[in-house]
Amino acid sequence: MDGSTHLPQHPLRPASDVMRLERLGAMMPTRLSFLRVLMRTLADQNAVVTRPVWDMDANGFGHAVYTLALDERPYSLVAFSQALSDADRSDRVIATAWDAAFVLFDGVPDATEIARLKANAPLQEGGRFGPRDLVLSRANKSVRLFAHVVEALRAGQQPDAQTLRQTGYLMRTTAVYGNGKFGLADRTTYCDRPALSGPFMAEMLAVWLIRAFTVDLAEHLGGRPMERALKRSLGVGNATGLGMAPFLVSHPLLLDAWFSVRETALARVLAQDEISAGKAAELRTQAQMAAEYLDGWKVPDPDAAQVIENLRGEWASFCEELPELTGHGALQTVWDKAQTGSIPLQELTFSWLLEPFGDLVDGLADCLATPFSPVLKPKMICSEVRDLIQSTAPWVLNADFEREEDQAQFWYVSEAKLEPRLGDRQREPGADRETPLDTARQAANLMRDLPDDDTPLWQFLASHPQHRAVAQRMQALPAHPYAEVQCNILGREAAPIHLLRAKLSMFGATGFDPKSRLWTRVTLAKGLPLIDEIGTEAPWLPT
Amino acid sequence: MAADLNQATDGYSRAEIYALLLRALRGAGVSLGWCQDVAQAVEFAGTDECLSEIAGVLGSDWRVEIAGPSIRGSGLAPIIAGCDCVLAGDAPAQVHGAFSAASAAIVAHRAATAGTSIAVLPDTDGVRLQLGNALLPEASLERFHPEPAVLETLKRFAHLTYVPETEESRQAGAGAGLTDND
Repeated sequence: MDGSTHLPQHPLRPASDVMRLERLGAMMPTRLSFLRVLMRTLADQNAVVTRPVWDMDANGFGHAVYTLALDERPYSLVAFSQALSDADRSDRVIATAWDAAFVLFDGVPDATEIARLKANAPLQEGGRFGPRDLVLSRANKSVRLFAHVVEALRAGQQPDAQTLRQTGYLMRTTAVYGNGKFGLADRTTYCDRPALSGPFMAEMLAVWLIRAFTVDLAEHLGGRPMERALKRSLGVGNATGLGMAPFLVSHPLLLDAWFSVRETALARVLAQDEISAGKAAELRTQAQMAAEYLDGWKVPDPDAAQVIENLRGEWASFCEELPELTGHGALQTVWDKAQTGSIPLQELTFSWLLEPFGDLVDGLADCLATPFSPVLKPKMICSEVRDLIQSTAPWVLNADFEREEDQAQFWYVSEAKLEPRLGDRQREPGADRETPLDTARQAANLMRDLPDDDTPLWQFLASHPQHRAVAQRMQALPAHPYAEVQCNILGREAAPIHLLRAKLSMFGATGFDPKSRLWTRVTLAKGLPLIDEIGTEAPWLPT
Repeated sequence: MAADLNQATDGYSRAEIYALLLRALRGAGVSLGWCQDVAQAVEFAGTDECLSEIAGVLGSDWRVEIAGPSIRGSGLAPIIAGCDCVLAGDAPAQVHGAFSAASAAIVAHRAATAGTSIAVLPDTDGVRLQLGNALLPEASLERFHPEPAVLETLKRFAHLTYVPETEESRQAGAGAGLTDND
């Protein structure tokens, strides 16, 4: 997959196990998560962040510009801060105003560009953007924590470390838009620049710079700096709803790339029969870090809290019983032992095992992006397509779409705010305008109509065009086994929160705090190096 | 308020047009696979002219009729089937009807994703498609500047995929509350 393709590796885990919704919903960030990849890129390029503009009034309203160079090109985060009443502060997409708005700009904006962005960025979806605007975002203050920090600093004190760690952020972003939305630059215009070639790199860069802005704003209002360790304990909050979930269904080959990389990384790590004493010590240190992270991971939702509590106990036992890690086959022994525990334990172990082995896995990050979509293979005969579905996607045949339970939910986009939503098919109108995320149902319908003969697929599809999209998805599976979330997304029990967890883990989010089965809060960039600490160690998990 | 596409001063991104076309085609009742073929093709190699042409065929019934190498029909379905036929290696395909800018984008995109080239030759009442003898197409990075009337048509069909809001869907459909102060 990268330049070191001849590294030994174990067989990859089968997609039937990896792509289960339950497992996706237990994923943890890894050193291949996009924020970690960004930190390595910044370090490799010796990036230096400056803040050439800080034009804020005494109330913290105004604008600021942060600039850095990557691949010898400058990029700037332009941040706007404005007054917002409590009544208008909503994390939903339906909001129309925010405490702050941001644009990641391709270059260094002059006064004319800043004026243009000032007129548009606070409008967010109501604004228009251009080919030099890479990312658009907005954020709301975490009101109580922001006030606590400002009041403490004004009183000549430092904010309470425990309070900071518990909330974890001064502002929450509620959307981070890229790739052409609202006129922003197409990803294809910058994806050949090495620093931004990975998935969501521009978006992650924006988020990491927004984190710096939130701290600077609090220090501006507080009148003195915060201690460095306290600043590092803060990230950027994010409220993530359903909008993120359809992406995983509508980008099957990208999904395959992400999971192929992750699984290859694990396979390389497990292929080591022996590891050095140094690596073993690092594993033990990281195990302790994970325990501290779990201790600090408190959420109000009782079900989620119970899962975390169980994992805390399982992890403690698991670590107590770790064998001598330098022995023959020790990593495989550890991995096998994790398989006897819960799925959350397995996923935590997965992330932990990767952590000391950057030399084996970091190069795989080059394979996280793909520009491709499924392509129809028109020559394949219909009976072959039937065999292919039965052998590579048996999960699509498990549901019975005559049963109410198996198509209880439908995805749609609301007319008022163009916001993805989930409806109850039996109770709510709109199923006739359903968003076609129903891969399992489409595939089941294809199997129903597909003749078991040697008709070329393209001829069948000419008279059955309703099956064209899913046919090419199914054809992609032999070469891209991780391309599909293996679940009937319409089923009553299919909780979107699991899809959010998977994607956010790929970003590198921590502190999952689910608020329902439809949305969650998380923290991004917590614990990562500050803008004047590029090149220092980026920890696996914040503690 | 959602962004008003007519207010663009710097054109439209290709991803933005892809999303709009996909939705407009779906709203017009075109089968999803064809929607994807057309939207991806226009994103890859399309021009403003393509958008005008597509807006003009949104209301029609898209269909394909195959008789040996001869392919007829309506909408952009015949050119898609013609590409299928050629890429399946069956034979050169005779696609009847006008060969438009949108047709050219579809041929370019299908050839590029297949890693080959498809030659388009004039033929009686249409074109003949055959493998090879053409340059491998490249993706366009140009932004779109469509006519306002074209955009309005695309938006009108795209609108047919949106579900009108109810208070229940507003409150519960996305799961979160309406204000958020902590």
